[in-house]
Amino acid sequence: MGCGLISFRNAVILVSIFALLGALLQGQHVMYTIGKGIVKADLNYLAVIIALVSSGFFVTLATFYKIPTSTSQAIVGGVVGIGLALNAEIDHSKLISIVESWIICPIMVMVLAFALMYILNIILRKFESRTFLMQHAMGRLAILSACYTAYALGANHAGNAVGPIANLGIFHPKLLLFIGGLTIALGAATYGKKVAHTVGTGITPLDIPAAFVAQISSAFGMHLFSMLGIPVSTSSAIVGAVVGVGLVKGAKAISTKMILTILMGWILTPTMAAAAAYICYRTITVIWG
Amino acid sequence: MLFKKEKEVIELILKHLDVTENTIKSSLKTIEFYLDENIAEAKIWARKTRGTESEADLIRYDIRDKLYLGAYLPLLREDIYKLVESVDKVGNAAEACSDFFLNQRPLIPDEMRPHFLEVSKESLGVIDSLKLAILCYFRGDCKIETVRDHTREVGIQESRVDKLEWDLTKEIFISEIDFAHKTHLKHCLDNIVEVSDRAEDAGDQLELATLKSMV
Repeated sequence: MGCGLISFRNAVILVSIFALLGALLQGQHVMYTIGKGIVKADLNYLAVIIALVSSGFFVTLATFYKIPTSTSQAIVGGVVGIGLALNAEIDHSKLISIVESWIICPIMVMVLAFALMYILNIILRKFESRTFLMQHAMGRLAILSACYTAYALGANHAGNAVGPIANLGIFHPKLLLFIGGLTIALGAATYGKKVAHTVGTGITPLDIPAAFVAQISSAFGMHLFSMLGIPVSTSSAIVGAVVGVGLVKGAKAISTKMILTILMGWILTPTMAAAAAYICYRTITVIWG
Repeated sequence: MLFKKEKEVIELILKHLDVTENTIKSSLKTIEFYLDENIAEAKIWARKTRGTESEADLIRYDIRDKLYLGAYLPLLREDIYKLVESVDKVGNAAEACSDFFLNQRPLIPDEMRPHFLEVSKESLGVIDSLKLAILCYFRGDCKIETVRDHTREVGIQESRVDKLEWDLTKEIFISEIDFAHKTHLKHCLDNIVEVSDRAEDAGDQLELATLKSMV
């Protein structure tokens, strides 16, 4: 959508369908990690609510200020905060591998996007004839790659959102994943436009082949980590991919200020979500005894 | 068939180009017969010019409708239609030119006739390079550099028309004819050179499209 390939309405429809499919077919891996993988304890209702509200609040706040932030990082922060507040056992090795993946994923995606863009450029230059029809065909491929991104998004993020609730064991996991996928669609329809604009045009201007490469690389990265049950950041993967294609054009095409803003969001969101969850839970339990 | 709607649009664009070329060639025939003082024949060619120009308009509407109904991605539609529109304007200018001759009947002094004929051939002849450039681009069977060579040729030919226009304008205004006659001839000349000006705009539009598709 950022490079003007598809209307916002159609983008929302595609995101809804594929995010839902991703959630239902492959969302269970991340859901398990968030539910029982990090905090090795049964959470109570209050803990689940606080973990979700504090992470949701900071994601909404960052989105309002057009900063592409990470739901995964916020939710992991929220769950860890609650785990600390409950004095529950936290699987540190799991947590470290998740945090490591937040660094590895965007770098891996960036390298992949750079390599793919470089190869695609060579192929396209060899073709020479760059007609409207060829641009149209590339555009269609870019839309297909966007569907794959939405699928990977559902597979990774639906589990994020409903993982803490799955910990309670009161709903069927598939129902929870369906609700997770549905709410991703709702989020895309309401706040998605602002972030799509920032990622599509604010970091580096994208043409059609670049949009295709950025999406296919980021989707691959997210999909890979989803299958490993590791919640990664969609925005970090997409930003990594956009930077990767931007580097092929030359580093000058990338807005350093925008990248720094995004990095700040990545650090602040999980930290703030963890701190908020910890403080809220402790305060409420002290007041209510 | 893959990309059926899009391929139909390309066929229509090429058809529109052919019909526009016919309009321009007919207009040139009109001028040639007029300068040869064969008004009866000039009228026949002027009618042909109007007929083909109307046909080109209908094809343009058809292209617009197909784009409106979803052929090509929204991102590309504007560029495609602008290009078609710019080619159509070349045909419109050629029609206006032949209409000017038959409607206003400018009195061309004998010594200026060869010069009017030369500038007409040069200005309306610009369609040949423009057509080659557009065919090359839409068929996709030649290198992008070849497309750009043809569009450059359009620009070079337009510059030659400018030079001829300058010389003929000077010739008109230093002649002994009265001022009203001079301005009428100048107006006639403006109509002739308008064709190559519009063709240059169409060439620029195509150049923009090629630039956008460069990696």
